Amino acid sequence: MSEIVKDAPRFLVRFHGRGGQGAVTAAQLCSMAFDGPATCMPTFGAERMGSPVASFVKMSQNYEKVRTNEQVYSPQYVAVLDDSLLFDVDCTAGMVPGGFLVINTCRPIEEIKEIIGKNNPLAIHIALIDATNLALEYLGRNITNTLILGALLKVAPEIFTLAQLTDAIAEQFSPKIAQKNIDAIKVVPDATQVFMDENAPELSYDKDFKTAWSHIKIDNIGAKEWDLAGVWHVDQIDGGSRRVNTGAWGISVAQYHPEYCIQCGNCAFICPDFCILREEKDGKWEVVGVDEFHCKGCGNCVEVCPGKKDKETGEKHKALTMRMKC
Amino acid sequence: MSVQPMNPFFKKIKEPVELTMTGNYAVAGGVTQTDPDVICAFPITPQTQSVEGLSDVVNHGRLKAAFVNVESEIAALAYSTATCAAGARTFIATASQGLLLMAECLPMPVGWRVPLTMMISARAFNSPNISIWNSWEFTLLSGFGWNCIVSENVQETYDASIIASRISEDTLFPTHFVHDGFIISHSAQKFMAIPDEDVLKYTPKKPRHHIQTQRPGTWGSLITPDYFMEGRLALELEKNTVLDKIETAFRDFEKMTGRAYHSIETYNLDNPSKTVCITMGSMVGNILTWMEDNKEIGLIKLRTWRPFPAEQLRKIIEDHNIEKIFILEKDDDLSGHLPPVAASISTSLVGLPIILRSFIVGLGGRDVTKDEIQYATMKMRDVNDNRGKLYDYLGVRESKGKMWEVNF
Repeated sequence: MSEIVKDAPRFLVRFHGRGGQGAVTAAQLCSMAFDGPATCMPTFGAERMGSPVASFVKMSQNYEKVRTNEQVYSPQYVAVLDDSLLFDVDCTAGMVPGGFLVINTCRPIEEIKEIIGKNNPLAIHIALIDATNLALEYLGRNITNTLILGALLKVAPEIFTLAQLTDAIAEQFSPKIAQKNIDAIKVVPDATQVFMDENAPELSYDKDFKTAWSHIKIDNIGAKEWDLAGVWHVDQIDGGSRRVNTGAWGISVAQYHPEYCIQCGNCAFICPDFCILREEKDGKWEVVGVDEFHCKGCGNCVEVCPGKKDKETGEKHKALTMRMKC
Repeated sequence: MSVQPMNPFFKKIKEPVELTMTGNYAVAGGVTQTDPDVICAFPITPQTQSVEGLSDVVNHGRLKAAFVNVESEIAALAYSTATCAAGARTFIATASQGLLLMAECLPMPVGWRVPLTMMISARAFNSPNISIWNSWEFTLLSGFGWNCIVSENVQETYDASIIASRISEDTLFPTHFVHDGFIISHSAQKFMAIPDEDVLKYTPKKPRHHIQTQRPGTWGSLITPDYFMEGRLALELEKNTVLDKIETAFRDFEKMTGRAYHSIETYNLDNPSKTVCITMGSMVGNILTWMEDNKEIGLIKLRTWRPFPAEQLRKIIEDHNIEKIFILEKDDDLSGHLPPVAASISTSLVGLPIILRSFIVGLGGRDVTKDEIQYATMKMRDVNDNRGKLYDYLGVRESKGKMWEVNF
């Protein structure tokens, strides 16, 4: 092995997204675009739509440096596909000082700094891109994974070029979808705002900032506190899907109009996330509203709502409609 | 579907080509190239995409094979054993609970000497809770006479899907090839695909015994104590020749692709501490990357898990004057005995002056990081005899806020 290859830098990237946003595909595109050994893997969890997921890419000309099959704990680059994750997950965990945090957001930098400041990251640079609106404009869908790679291209031009990235996209997607993505990516670098931290040192590609045993969540229960039968009693479970803001990444949300509701209950049965709120009145369960915290805006309830005729105008109105968030 | 994972295998591969795929799809590609006649499996996480990928290539018309849907794993293995006995090259895949449900059928393809090939995406058995993530469940069900080779990464599992087919045909024993569920099955990595022509040359369909109407007979009939032991010894005698045939298959594979594989592979054995770590599967990569900056220990990688290459291991340990061995394994036994991998290794080394310990790590998909490797290396410095318990769990919480201390 030549000395150049042996000392080749090791690029580590972590993507944070929600199930369905394409964080895994983003990681795969990254590894395909890189000219040399690269591996990528997702966090292996329940990949339910809307639940927080992460994916990792390891890239280096020196294969031995990326031969490991462990996850990435000390990335130089982190891309966040959904800014609501900043509240739920420590997106800056283990980040190498001088690294870049790329966020899809329309929030101002001051607010972002305040949110991530709670986790006390080392000195890192931040790049902001409003990828959601670009995705809606170019792709017609809120899928931002390829666009965030365009932003990564701006902050880390040494990993791969635009041409390499577009080649990877062309290989991965059907031609029509690939072209839309490629068109969108080209406008991303100019739309990306980069905020450099003056105190950040030069970025190191060798140093590891993983805290020892950080992959084992030390505050969870241990073997000696384990239930005799391994049962997860509902009164003990901290979290579950109840506290996960699965509705955060939807671009629209269902809205309830009680005046047009005939209480057929179709919406409650069709909703995949139990977001139709019901209350018991005189022995009957009645629809009373929508749980906006968990509603992802799939629109199924609107589809099945039979609606009701307005007495005065005779016009038919549905009791559920979709409302755009912003 | 916007993403078409099996796309590269829809057309003939004429030149060695670099592809990026997940482990399961890469296996589907490799199996496609070996031209199976029958594919019969029941889906189970994390094995599913391998069979799904094969259904794609069959549907596309690229592969002329019978894709058979069945109602359970036991039906899948019963069906596959029968088609294989009828002379078809057959591929099957499963994991964890699926393997358990197959258990009743596992000994028969061995007894009938049918060259069945099975992929296992290693996953934990359910107890006390369901886990869909990686453990080495196959080590607890590998005593029936199946050959078993274990892969470290996507390249190796792709290659194994081809080599396993060859090993099955050469040895006439069914072969498992295993990769770590999720860690490899769902990781996208770059690998070199072999041209179709070379694969077919490497895995020819040779004439062999099979069910035939011209010469009727009963397969698997009742047999009295007058004969049963002879049948078992006949299997054992043939089994003794398997390791050499596996090595030959590896050698021929190296001639074809340049990728050198062995039943046992070694790294940095002549280290100052005379300590060596033995493990297999995806963890080997983790240790080798860690060893880039840490030369204190050596590493032995087991590629062939069954038949266990005991003599070869013993020779390596003797030739390099290894004093201490520690094993990292993703399985436990709860029998009060050493866990499966350590049990196989220690019985291979009976009588040698070896200090041996086993660390149980990474169960149910827990990541094995440099922390575990470093801790095990450090712990072995102070171990100087074989007294007390020889195994313990590593990288696990004792209680809230407190890690379990390995106690040797």
